[in-house]
Amino acid sequence: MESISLEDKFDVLIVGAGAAGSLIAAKAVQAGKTVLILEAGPERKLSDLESSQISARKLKWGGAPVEESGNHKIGNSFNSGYGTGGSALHHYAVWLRLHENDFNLASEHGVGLDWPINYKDLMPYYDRIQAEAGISGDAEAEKWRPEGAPYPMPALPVFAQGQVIKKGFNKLGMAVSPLPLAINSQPYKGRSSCLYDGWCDAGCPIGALANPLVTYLPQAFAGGASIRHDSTVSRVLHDASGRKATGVEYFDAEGAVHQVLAEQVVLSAFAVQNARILLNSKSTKHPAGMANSSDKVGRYLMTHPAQLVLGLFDQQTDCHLGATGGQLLCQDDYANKDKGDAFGSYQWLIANATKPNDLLGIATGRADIYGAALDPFMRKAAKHFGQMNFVGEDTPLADNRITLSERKDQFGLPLAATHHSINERTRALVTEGVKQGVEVFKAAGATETWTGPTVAMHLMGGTVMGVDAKESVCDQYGRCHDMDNLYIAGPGVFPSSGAVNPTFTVHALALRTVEKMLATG
Amino acid sequence: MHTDKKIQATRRSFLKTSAMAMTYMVAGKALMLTPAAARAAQMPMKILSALEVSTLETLCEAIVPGSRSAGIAAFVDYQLAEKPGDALLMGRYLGLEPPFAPFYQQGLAAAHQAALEQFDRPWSQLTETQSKSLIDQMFSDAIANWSAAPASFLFFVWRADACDVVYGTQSGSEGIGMPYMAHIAPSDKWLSAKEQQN
Repeated sequence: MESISLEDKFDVLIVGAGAAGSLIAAKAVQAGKTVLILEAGPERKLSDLESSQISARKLKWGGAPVEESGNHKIGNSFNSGYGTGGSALHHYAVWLRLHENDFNLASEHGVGLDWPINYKDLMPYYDRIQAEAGISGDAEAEKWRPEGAPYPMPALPVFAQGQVIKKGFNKLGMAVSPLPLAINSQPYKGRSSCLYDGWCDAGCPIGALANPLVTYLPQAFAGGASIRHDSTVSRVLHDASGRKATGVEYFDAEGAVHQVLAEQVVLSAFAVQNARILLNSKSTKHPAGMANSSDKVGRYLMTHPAQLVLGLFDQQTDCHLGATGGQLLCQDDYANKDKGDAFGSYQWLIANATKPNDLLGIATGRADIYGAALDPFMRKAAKHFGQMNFVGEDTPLADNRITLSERKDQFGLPLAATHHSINERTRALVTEGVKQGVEVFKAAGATETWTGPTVAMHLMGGTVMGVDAKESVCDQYGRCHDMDNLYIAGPGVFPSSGAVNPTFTVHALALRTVEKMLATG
Repeated sequence: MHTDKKIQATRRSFLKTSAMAMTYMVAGKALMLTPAAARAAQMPMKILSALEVSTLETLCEAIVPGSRSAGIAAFVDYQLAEKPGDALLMGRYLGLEPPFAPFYQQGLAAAHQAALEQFDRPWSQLTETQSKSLIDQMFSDAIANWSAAPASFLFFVWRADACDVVYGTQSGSEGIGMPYMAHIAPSDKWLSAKEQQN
């Protein structure tokens, strides 16, 4: 029989050292709490963030395999992180706010779910987070932007690729603005400014990009928070009543089992693993898994359906410059969700910094070019390539879900099995958007245009928040309806996806969560 | 024998490809090599057989010229031997579950069988025209009796691996006219390991 090591008790125990977990850790220690973070992956340091698309892969998910099925698989390995900083360590820092019309899909359109909060509830948290972490942008130029404080830093420069593609939007009567990025356009709070060399995907080692290694984790550690890496949480423990979480059980790298106790427990291990832990936390009090009396744990798994439009231009584009997330933004069609056959908002992230290789690299998008034709293409594309990314809204569907597989990981824990499909209206949204993107490229003077496959970008849902305990897993603060002191943080709590990148909202929600925890704990 | 004299990686070339550096134990010492240097030094493979190496090198060279000398086989073999979470092959983004070796080896076996069936010889003895014909058939899933993952998917994966070793390095990027602009210089530890060996 395995021996279990029972360890110290903490005020706050956090599972996952990504964007949400690191912020909650920082705020908790600053309020005088003792904090332990358990991270499944290895330790990452800024000095590990080597400029290479190949090395970048080590930052992505490297834990137990995640099974995927459906017509639009979630791409867990690309979209999830592993190690200190989580997925936020390799994220592209496109920090956009959800729009006012993103919060009430069910009541306004009869589709999906409503959030238990509205934009006005979240706005002050967006404002505070952007002041703390820093965002570069031009709020006035973003004519679609919901109300809020202007950005604390001016926008990043627009390089040749952005200038070239911008002409296409303008010719079609569409607006673009600088893309708001949590990347310093000037020194900010002791962090240096960006060098515009396009290595965001490999992690930013100079601190210009607001990843957890330079934002909230240093604050957490300065305040005395502890972290244990290579620690895979298997289940949440509870008291005799079943209402109070008492801690978690986890496996260390050698397979030894530990239990650690806490007054408050936060699951911030990203959308898939949070649901996996809850579903695996079965007991007599929670026969379907913890916090799952509603049978909603794992459901409403979402991604943003995304597709690249790519091309070559006569002009030199310097596509290696800038940020991986892009240089410009267009949200002209964001307000109109109900498009008849199509449903959802969408946006364009324009002029992404691009490298020769890797999943989003120049070569990969043209697998039809090989042999003697490849090198001439690569040489031409290195000077004249451009791309932009369609990001669409997913429709929350209960059957898109995370369950436990029959297969086990190295610790004997069931793997996560994910199923995700997009419906016909979402498919139509992608088709409509990409058609527009090709027209933009033609208007911009592209000499050749092609498109990538429809892929999954970002992971959301699986532990959605809501007002009704029968229809959701947690309340507006992330506290599980079935539990007094168990919180969920991260994009898993989103009841709908909107069409904007989720990390800014993850931070804003996490700030609400920790302030609620501190007020009640 | 794997002597120092066979190690052709100069400090400069090592710097330019360090992201792909691989550690070999030689006479009890850690030796950092690029895939190209590992191939030049004929470092032993950990996973792939000689036939699998020659098949992989030949078909990748036909897909991405330059990938043979850039060390495609050494790169793939090294990554296949890594722990699941440490392997840096692009396949990890494409739904492949570790361990990746069976996927590669079954694919190489199917490719080898296709060469025998159509041309009665292994890949390493095919003419350029014959290689191109098989590659074209792989791209379009047109090879009969293919007994592995879909040929077009294997083509995609191998093409991506080959692009990694040819274009995914500082020298490869700069070779097509794209400035590399690395943030982080290679680790001193790697250099000292190499210099210790020298």
